[in-house]
Order: sequence, then structure tokens, then C-alpha cells
Amino acid sequence: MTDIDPRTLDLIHAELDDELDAAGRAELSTRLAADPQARLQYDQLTRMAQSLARLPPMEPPAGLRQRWQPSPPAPAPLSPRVAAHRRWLGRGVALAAATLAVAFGLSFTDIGRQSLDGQQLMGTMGSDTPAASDSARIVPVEAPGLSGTVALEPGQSGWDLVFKLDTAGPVSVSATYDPAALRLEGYARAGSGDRSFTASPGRIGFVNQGAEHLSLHLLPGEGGQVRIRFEGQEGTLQDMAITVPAGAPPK
Amino acid sequence: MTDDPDAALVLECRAGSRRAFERLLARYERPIFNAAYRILHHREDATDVTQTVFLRAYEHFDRFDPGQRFFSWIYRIAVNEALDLSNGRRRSEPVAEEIASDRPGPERVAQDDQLDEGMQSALMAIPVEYRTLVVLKHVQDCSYEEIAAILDCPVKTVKSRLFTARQALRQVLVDRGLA
Repeated sequence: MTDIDPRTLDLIHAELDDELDAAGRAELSTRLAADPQARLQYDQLTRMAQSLARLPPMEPPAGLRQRWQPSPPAPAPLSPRVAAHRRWLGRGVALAAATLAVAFGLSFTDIGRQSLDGQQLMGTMGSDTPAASDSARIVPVEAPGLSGTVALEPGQSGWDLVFKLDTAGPVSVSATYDPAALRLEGYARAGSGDRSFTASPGRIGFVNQGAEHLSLHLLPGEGGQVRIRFEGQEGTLQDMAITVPAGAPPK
Repeated sequence: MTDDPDAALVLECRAGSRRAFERLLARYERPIFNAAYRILHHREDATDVTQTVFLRAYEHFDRFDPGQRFFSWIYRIAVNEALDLSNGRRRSEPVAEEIASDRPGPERVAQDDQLDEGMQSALMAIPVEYRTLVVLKHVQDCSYEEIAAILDCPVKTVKSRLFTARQALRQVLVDRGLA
């Protein structure tokens, strides 16, 4: 443990930030000459600052800016992340989710391969504001090569739309909504090595490969419908629509 | 209105100009990504933060006060996103260690020398709030005033916390024989 005079330490840090005038530098110089420990610490801090300034700049992923284009991401071969992560979602979860959905009396419409005609997207996860006791709503996703759930859950600042999917190959997922009624605050993702994610007001897209978990954080607002489409390489696997209630979820 | 060179672009963004938004993206994408990377030491998370920052900026241009600098505004969003992510946005979703870690790949091997690794590792050993200060000051080369605007706290507080942060980082480096 050092016992350096606080004034000396203040001068050292001021020097690091190039804040000392000539008098301050002279005082620091005198103090460093009289205190080897202070001199050592000054040298260490100076080297540390120089090393930090020399850290190489990291290049953002290529195409990060292009991900802002409104077009949906094309399914692409993805590098599998750690196989162990697949544990968190399996058939058992899908089955449990289906059971929960039945228990909550939820309804949803599997629109299958039909086009995304807004008038046809009638299925919802519940248009009423959920009560505290049943505020988590889960809907199973089931199609060839695709299983999992989409859940509407109370989040930290609003609603979280949580995708827990397990896919045999790359599946492109798109979610569209009225940006005047719903606003995306951010998202968190875990599971895959792929980070393809596009977002523009009113549209979100990502590619799911293997077991993944993506949570979209929606700010409280007027509420509205989120239309979700799952597409594989052969075409549309499943469409669904989910209604996000107006306002914040009950605490 | 300040003499902020970005202010005109922000006004164009508010008027719906996608080109103006793309210019802001081009200007800030790399520094925001780098700040997030140095705070999180996780390339994918830094990518997530960068995308979220621009998404939020796009959606909230109406909340930007032309009296402040755009630089501070967007960095504040970035720092808050990075801190949120670091502090537990994934609390309810434990991520396996092998996934959370950022294994060096060919790209990293090419870019990061041993010193970089040692310093980044030491940065990760200090609390994220201190790390953020050190990154803003010494990696991003922000002034006290800019950091104060980003963190929304007095300059005096920045200086005081930076002092503590640097001492903490120096101690880690000493303990690891890297000072």
C-alpha cells in the first residue's frame, strides 16, 4: 500500500490530463524527485495512459450500416455457436409453452403460407391488458424445421417480445408494426454466432439458426399489432400476429 | 443552437432525410462501436449496442435538444446501452461462459497484440462504471466537459471518479505484473 501525499497524487493525475501550468509542473517535479514511490506511480500511470491511447481501433462488422436498409435479411449460412447453449430450449420447452398457452386460454392464428395481408392477420395473444397474475403470455411456434415460442412478457421499461426458437436451418424472421403505436427500445440476443439483425421504424428482421433467444424491448405506447413471419429457404413457414396492449405492463 | 456541425444533419433527419441519417451513421458508427467494444469486450454485444443506439436515435430525434451537442447525446445513449447490457439486461437469461467470452479469432489475432490483450483484460477487471470513464477519457480522448455531458454529471465528479478509476486500473496492472 502506498503512502503518497494526496497533493502529489492530485498533481500526477492533473499532469496525465495535461492540466498543469508551469508552476504546477515545477511543483510536481520537485515532489517526484523527493518521493521515489510517487515517481514510480507517476511512471506507471503515464505508461498506462499511453497504452490505453494505443489500443487499436476495432472495425465494426462489415455491412453494419447496410443492415438499416428496410429489406429483410436473407437467410444465410451461419456459424453455429456453442452447442451447449442449445440446452435452454428444447422440445420440452415448446411443450410446456403450449401447455401454458392453453392454460391461459390464449388464441393465435397460424396463417400458414398465406401472404401477409393485414386483414387476414386476425390472431392475437390477447387484446386485453394482462392482469399481473397472467402477464406473461406464450405462444408456441411449430412448423417443419422450426419450433419454440414467442412470448409477450413485462419488461424493464415496457413489454418484451421474446422469441425462443430452435430451427434446423436458417429461418428468416420479420416483425412489422405501426411505428406510431409501438416503439422498439432495444433488444438482447443470445445463442447463435450470427448477429444478423435489421431494424428500421416499423420493421425488425433477423435470421435464426439453431437455438436462439431474442428479446425485443418495446416501450409503453398506444399498443398495437405486431405481425410476425417465419420464412425458410422453401418459403413462408408460419405467420402470426400478436397484440401488444396499450400502456405499461402491470407491476 | 450550437455550432455543432452535426446539428444541421439532425434537423434534416427530423425532416425525414435518410441521407442525413446515413451521414450521421457513417460519422459515428465506428467510434460508438469502439467505445462499446472497449467497455464490453464482446464484439457481438458491441454490434448490438451500436445498432440499438442508432435505432433509438432514429426514433428519438424529436427529443434531441439542439442546444446540446449531438456527440454527447448519442454517446450518452451508447454508454447507457452498454451499461445496461453489462449490468444485467441478460440477468434473467444466464449465458453460458463459453458464449459470453470473446474468444480470439483470426481477426483478433491480427489486430490485437499482447499488450492490447493485457490492457483490455485489466480494464475488464475494474467496475464497468470506472471502465467507462477510462475508455471515454483515454481511448476515445473525450475532455472532462464532454464526459460530464455524456454522463450527465458535474465536471468535478468526472475528475474525482476518473482519479479512482485510474488508480484501480493501475493497481490491477501492478498486481498482474503489467504496470
